[in-house]
Amino acid sequence: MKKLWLIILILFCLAVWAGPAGAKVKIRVVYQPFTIHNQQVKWMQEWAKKNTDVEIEPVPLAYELYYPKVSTAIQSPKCEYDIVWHNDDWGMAWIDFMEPVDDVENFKRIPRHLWDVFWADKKHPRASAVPFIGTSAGMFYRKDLITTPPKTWKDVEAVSLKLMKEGKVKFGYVGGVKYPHAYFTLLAWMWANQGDILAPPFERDKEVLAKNGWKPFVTDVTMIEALEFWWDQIHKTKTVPADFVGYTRTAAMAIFQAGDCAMFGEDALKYGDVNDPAKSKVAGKVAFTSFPSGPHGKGPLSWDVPWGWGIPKNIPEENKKAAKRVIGYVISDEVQLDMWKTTGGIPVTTDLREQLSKTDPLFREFAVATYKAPVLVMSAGYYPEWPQVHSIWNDYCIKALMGDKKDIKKVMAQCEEELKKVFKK
Amino acid sequence: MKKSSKRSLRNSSTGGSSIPMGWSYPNSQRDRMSGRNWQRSKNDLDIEAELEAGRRYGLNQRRKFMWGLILPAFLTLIFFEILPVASAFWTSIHRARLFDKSRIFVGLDNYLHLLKDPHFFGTVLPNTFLFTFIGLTLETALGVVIALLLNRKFKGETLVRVLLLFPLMVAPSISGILFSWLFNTQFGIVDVFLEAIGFYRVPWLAGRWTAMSVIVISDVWLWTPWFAILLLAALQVQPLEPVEAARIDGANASQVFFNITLPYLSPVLTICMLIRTFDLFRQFDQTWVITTGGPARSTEFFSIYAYKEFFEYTRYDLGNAASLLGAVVMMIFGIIMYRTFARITMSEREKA
Repeated sequence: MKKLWLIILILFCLAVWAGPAGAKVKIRVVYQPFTIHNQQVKWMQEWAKKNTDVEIEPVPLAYELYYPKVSTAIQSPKCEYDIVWHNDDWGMAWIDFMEPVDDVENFKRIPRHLWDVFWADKKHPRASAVPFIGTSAGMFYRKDLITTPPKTWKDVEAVSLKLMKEGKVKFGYVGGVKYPHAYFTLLAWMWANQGDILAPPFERDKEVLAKNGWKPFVTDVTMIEALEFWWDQIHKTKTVPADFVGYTRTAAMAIFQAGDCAMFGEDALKYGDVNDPAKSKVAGKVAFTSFPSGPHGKGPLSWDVPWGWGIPKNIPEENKKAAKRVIGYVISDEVQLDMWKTTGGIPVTTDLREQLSKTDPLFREFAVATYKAPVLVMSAGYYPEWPQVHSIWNDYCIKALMGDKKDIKKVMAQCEEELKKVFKK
Repeated sequence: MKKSSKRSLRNSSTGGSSIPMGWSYPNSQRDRMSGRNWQRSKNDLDIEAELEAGRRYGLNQRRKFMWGLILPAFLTLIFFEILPVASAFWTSIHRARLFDKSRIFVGLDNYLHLLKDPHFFGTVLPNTFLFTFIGLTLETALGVVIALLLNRKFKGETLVRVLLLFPLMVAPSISGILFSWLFNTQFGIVDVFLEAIGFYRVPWLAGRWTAMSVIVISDVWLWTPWFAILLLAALQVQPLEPVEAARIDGANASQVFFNITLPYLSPVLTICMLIRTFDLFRQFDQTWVITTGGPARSTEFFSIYAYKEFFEYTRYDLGNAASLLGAVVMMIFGIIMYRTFARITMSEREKA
């Protein structure tokens, strides 16, 4: 009899110990430790406090290692992560390994172009990632010094020279230039002049690009003009720092925050950093506009692309269900509003964008500069070779900027040859 | 062990006879010729068998013990050295890209691709050798000078030695961050100082040679103390008699240094230089933090090249081929260096 009681007691203890732990689903979230992601993960953890059947384990991973590491994980028999940060230009490589996520709560409120971007070849009718923030970019500028935001390259140069001459700033413009930070200088300027890395410009459908033989477009006048503009700013007018070609976006932001520069190219979601009095001398004096148009451009430019959360196919079903619940929450109004207020990140749901446009003047300014800009581009290449193409192109642009102005075309011809090799089987 | 057991057996049972017990048999040719009948007792045979068994057991135990000692190192070598290198080699002779699972055998194509790459030969190899040569020369020379200066009594000697150790406590990547900001054109103290004394600000990280010099300076700052400390330790146990004798004979400081101190230091110096040569050859951390191989790949070394192929371009086959090729070059270079240093050390000793 005693034995029986003892067995019952042991079983009871086991049930008490194993019960809640066994029921809890652990969701491992992998992301690059960036302000936006940290904020999102914070909200995921808040959600998990109320939903005790799910536990969130954040796994921050350095950006440099992120893509190869997570790409390997999603191809393995069982992925070690349940939610993965999905950059907009990785969909072409990741699409076959990601769970369809269009059944996530709040997903239907997201405009189609924001999730189309993850699989730009139009073969996959279901979304492979849930956008959680808009990464639209443009120029921050000093509204205490610049009354009318520059609309063209000429305007940028003119206002820079004027403010420098008056001794109000040391430089006109800063932005990241070295790989992979050139979105806000070299890439933006190329696109703002209707140029692109591959022909036809602005085409993102992989099939069309393949039909066109993956032909580089880097020797086109649109590209050369963009490089000539930067060459002049570095070597002639000196409206940018002399070591501009070595700049990361962080180094560029430091100059703008120090009050040494009039304009700064970045993602809108850096507004929280440049407008924070604890970090920035120019807090309260910052406004935002689109990138200026080049001689061949059709108007100021921006992009409306997102960062997303994806769920790998190779994880248990119960983890997929829990992951979808978490992701559904971080695109809710509560979280999206907080993201906008704390970071300046553009919300992804259409109705919230409209509502904010009506009620929040600052958001209206950001909306006009970003997703309502006259020219919108999908700001990457959406094919598996993109990281390599991007890196090669960036290095050759810098090489061109370091050499003689008359050699720019020659250097870009070398770049063209290198790019052709990438697509050669 | 084998010999002594035989000897003791012979002494105990045959009274010191030259015929070892158990090695001759009653009806053998030898016994028939000598007319002696060597018949061993049962007791003798038992002892012999026991000893043999004991010997075998001991041998087995010793072998097991030896294997036990070797096994952890052997397994470590297999799993952490041989298998990864073999796997890297296997990858390097197949087509292996992040999203290409075909794994087609391509033989030495990847190695040929690297050998045909003008960037590899025109920039990466010269950069690596130049950096190794300049870094090693500066670190050695400064290390010797600092060690000689510290090898004397002066006020604040302990404090200076502690300060000298400071760079050794800094991680290479941290030193990279430190130097990239020191040489930042806008906020860096170096350019502020240059401007204050009437020079222009230098865009250090915007040109190949200026960026390379920042990497070299950062490496020299980090590793010279290592040389200095090791050489100082060697200097402090140097016998004073030859130095004093030389001074009595009228030798000046440089004669004492070149004819007595330097030959004395040469074994330590050789080892230090050899270790640092390999370190410099595979330099990664500081370069990655300071320039990431830029601008426009102009400060790329072997390790950065391999890293970019592997992680940035996700061409695992070429990344592995580059790493293995680097290892082979390093091995050849190391053997040449070792032999050269050994020859120099030998001649220095002979001179001494």
